[in-house]
Amino acid sequence: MDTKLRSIKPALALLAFVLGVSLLLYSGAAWLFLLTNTSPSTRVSLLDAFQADYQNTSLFRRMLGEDLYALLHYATSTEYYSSAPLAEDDTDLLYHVEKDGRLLASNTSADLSALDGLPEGYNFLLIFNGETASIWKDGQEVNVYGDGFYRGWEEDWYVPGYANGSTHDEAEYAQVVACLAAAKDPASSTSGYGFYHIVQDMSRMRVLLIWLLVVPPAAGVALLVWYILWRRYKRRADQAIAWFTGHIWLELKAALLLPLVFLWSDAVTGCIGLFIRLNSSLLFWALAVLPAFWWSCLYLNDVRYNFGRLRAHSFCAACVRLFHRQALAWSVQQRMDRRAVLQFVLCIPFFLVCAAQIPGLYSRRYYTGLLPLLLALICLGGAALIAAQIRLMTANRKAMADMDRLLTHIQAAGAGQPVGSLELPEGSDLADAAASLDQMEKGLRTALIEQMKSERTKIELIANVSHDLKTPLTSIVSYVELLQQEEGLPEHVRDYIRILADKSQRLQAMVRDVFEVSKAAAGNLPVTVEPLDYAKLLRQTLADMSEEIERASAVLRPSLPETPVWIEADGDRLYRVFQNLISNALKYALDGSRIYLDLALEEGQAAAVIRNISRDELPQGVDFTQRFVRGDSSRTDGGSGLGLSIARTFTEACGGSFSLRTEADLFTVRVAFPLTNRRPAEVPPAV
Amino acid sequence: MNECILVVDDDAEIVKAIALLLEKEGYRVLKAYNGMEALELAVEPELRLILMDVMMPKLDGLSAVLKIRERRNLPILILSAKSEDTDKILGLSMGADDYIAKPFHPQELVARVRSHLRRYTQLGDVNAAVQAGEIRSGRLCYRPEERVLLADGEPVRLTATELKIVDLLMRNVGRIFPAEEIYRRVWGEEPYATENTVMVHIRRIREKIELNPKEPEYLKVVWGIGYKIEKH
Repeated sequence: MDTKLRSIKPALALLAFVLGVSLLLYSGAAWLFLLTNTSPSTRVSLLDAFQADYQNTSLFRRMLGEDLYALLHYATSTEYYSSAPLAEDDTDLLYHVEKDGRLLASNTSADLSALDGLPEGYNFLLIFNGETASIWKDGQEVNVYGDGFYRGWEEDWYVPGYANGSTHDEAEYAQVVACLAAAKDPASSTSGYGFYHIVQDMSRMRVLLIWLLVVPPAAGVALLVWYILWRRYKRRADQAIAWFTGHIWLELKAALLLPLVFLWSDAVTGCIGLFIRLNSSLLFWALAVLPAFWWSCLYLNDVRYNFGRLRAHSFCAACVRLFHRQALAWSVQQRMDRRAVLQFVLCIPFFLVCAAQIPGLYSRRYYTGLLPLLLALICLGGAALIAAQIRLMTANRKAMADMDRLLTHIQAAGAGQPVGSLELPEGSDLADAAASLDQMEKGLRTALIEQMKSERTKIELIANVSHDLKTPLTSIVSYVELLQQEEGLPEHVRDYIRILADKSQRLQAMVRDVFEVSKAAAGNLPVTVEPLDYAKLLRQTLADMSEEIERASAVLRPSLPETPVWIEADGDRLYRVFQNLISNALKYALDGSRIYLDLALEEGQAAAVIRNISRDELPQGVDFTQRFVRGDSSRTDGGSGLGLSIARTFTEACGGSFSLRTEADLFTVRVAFPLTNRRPAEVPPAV
Repeated sequence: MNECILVVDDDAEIVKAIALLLEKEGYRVLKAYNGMEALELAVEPELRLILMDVMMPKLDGLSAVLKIRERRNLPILILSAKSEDTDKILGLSMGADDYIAKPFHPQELVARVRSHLRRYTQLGDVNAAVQAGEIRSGRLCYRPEERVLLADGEPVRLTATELKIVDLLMRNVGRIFPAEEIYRRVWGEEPYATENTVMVHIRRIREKIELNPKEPEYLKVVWGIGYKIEKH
């Protein structure tokens, strides 16, 4: 549920943003359009729609004026009218017209010539007395003419009698009296467009306006607020889109820019056109604003997140990459050769275009004089160019062949194969390079031989030194033994001999350790790696050292798994590793403290960890596995200082990893080996 | 009769020390200080054993061993400061019977000399007529019928448990036994935390049969697997 929501949130945030901005754009356009557009094609104007009383609308004024003029025309016309001047069945508009005191037409029996005669349900009365019109609304007289000038039906009543009116026409109306009464709440639905329809249109317009002009911007703002709250999700959606668009080739994007430009020009023309005059086709074009806008946003988003990668994600770049990948399999000579061919091939279209011009030249008569000369020049130039290209390519080919040989030579030398000196043809571009290479190689070989010699000398030195140490040591040990067998010596002499025996033993161990560590350092330590049970090896080591462990003042707490832990190592070496580590821990652990030996399995590895608290303060920043390094620098205690060094070199020689950490006085050694699937060979059943 | 031993080493002090150690054990000692002298002295008919150093002037020890081997069949023990496995193998392939690395433990040297002499002089006849059912491995000889283990022909005094372990390992010379298996077969109980128990007995047996119990040649631990008696 949670993850589902997480994946849906960015989509929702994006949707909110797009819808909100679209709605705001749309309603902004609609507002501008409706506010600036006063075309009469909409019967009820924007301002009229929100009038409380339909009689206050400009439409009502105009209709009323038109009705009045209809009555006046009727009265003054010399032609014969077969029908009534206004709808007779319209109960919302009562009329009455007379000329020279004679009633010409009326749709009511009520006397409309005075305010008192107005029937029930009618609150508006217009009386034209031949010169001017008077209007009463709800019993109040309305100021009809204002300052006496007519400016249009939106502001003024459309009636005769203005100072700027037509006097010729109005003179005709002198004998006419016309009365018009309007219902307060029109209810009649006649065939024509009556007051009832004004009311209907007003409410319809109101609904329309609310849905067009109020709801969309409100929804747009709400959606934008939502987007602002969730903008970090929207950013994720942006990134997702950018990831998607990032895979589109740059060329395709550039090609798609062209329709976008057209769309924008359509949109802009449409919008400008709409401000000038309303036209349905212009409206259609103006609708292009939204797609154009969002299309542009897509581009901006892409540029914002993929700017650095735009170039890499192009068809050209893909082609180049393909070429490079292909080129990896080629030799240097092939590579350069093909590059040159490509260069030549890319020039061909240019030559072709030039050639295509030749027939055109023929068709133009006025060139004929110069034509042969021109053609000859072009052909000669072209031939010379091609010949030069081919010559250069051949020359380069030769150089490339040499370079190929040189590179093969370098590779062979780099791989350590014995190579003779490189013979390049006389005058080759690379002769100098080949000579330098030869020199370099000779120098390198000499250095290598010297290094091997010194390595050998080092090992011989170790062997000799160890021999030179062992020979006198043999004498010491032997004579100490003889001394020990001597009888009748005083007790203090016996004591001295014991010390001699003890120290010669230690010296013996030390010489052995030094020799082994030196051998390991020279990479000369033979190891026999066999599968073995790590846990069992540790148990055997503990059993082997049980006397030493019991004697020690610290307590050893092993925690070893009962199930076999198979690793591959040299058992004798690994035993030496743990013998050294455990006796180290026993020797240096704080009296009465506990030494922990754990064997843990972790991610294909078995790690034995020994932890103990040091008796003496551990110096910080000392690598204890360095040869001859010990916790205390005074070196008065026993040990060759090689224990940890031996442990490390032996572990690494067996393919394990050795690490040591000190934290305050806690001393931790970790010896880890990868687990193996190999098992020791099956043994025949015992007799 | 005192057995005669030839000690060859270019270091006179070492020769002297070895001579003293051996004379204390009742052997007669001839001394040589290089390979040539050794060759001259090797004709002595009383000679029973040679201790030979490797790196010596005039003629080195290995060449001397080769030459002596042409004429005489007696135990030759090599003494050398070179302790590499390859050096040991080289020495043994030249015809030497044992290889003792310097600095050696004097007691071990004496024990080895005694062991080789015993086998050479006393067991020479016995070797010809091997008893039926006998199991041999170098210095060790086990007679399953009598349940007796001989080291250099001398019966080894073993406790009942130790004998059971030796019986198991000697009957299967060279086979590796995990501690659990030894425990199950010797004690006849289900094994639990057996490593220490078995190891204690192994150590005790070693003290009785090995010349240098710290560097055993026969009863060996195969680290991470078990225990075995090496086939020699």
